[in-house]
Amino acid sequence: MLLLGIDTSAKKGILCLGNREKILARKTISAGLSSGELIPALDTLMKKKKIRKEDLEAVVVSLGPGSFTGLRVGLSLAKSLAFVLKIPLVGVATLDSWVFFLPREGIFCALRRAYGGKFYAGFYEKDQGKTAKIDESRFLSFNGIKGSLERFFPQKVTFLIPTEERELTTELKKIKNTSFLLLDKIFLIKALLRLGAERLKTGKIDNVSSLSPLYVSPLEVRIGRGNKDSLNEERGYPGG
Amino acid sequence: MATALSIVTQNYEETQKLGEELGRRLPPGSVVALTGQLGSGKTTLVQGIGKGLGIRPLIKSPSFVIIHEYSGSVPLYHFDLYRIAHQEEIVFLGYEDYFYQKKGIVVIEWAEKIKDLLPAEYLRIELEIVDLSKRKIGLRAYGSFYGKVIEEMRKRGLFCSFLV
Repeated sequence: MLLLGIDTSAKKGILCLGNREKILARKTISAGLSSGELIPALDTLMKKKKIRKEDLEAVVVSLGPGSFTGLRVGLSLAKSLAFVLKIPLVGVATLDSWVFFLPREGIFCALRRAYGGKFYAGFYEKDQGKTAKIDESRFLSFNGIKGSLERFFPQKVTFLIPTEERELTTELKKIKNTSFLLLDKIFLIKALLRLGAERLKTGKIDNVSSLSPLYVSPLEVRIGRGNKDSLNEERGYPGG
Repeated sequence: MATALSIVTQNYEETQKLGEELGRRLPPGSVVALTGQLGSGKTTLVQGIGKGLGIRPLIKSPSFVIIHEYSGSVPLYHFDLYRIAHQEEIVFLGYEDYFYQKKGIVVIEWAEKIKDLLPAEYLRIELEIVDLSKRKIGLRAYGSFYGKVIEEMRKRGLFCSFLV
């Protein structure tokens, strides 16, 4: 199945083509993310691999948390394509996708830098191949993160951090009883596509009109709920 | 650490000139929060800032559209929160992408309406009507970034009636 993956939650956007097994092509779009750049970039990517729009079978889009405008730009592109090409649309909670196919067990905190010195964090537990979300993605300060980890004591917590934000480890090292896993770009793209493929397999596709980003704000305002975080619906997906 | 400066401008032109001096000194990524009643000179000050950034079109209060962007030597993002009733409303406008960018200057009229959403560091300017044309303008820096701007203004000795 040929999937188009779109992730504009971070400063740099990613477009990718692939399926649950492999990435066929990918392109990073640097700062200044806008629809004016995404569409030509997508065009270039598809031409390079001689893929026509008729070949695309589904669109998988990252829902955040992440940049307010960035998420909307990516989502608009995803929705337009799904609508026009009449192919299924799947929205994936960004932090969920990082954890889902991780071939490990234990407690994880998926972390990404937000703004104003704060972070988006999601807490998960993996046990015998099953992944469960412990807490909603939150907007936390460094001390807020420390505080949230207290409930897991004495269990160790592993931070999941994209390699692009590896400088976070310097600060996070100070928190006792934790370790890190750096996730490289390839892993993140594969995770997006795999979780998308998984959702398609089970028929859990999203509604083009109503799909919204998962935006986390300091005022606890939820603008849209997206599709219920994939992990909350059903436990027991096979582990990676 | 806060640095403060108090200035009295005699008329509309001086308020604009003050804005212009600020516009020339504010680094990209600056956030300026303006408070003061109707007619106290907030927009006049912003017009001055625009002049300092080389912006040609006339700057007016974006009371209706809430945000207006201008291109100058660096972009100017002019907010007017007069119409908003709750802080949450600007969340829907993608305020964070403006407040935390590093390319242009953000100026917010009626900034007191979003006190919980202002960044940790910003320049606060309070305008007070003294009489028909005189205004008392208090600048306060939150963060060393802005402390430097105030220090420069102080050294320049512009319009300073008393220094704090």
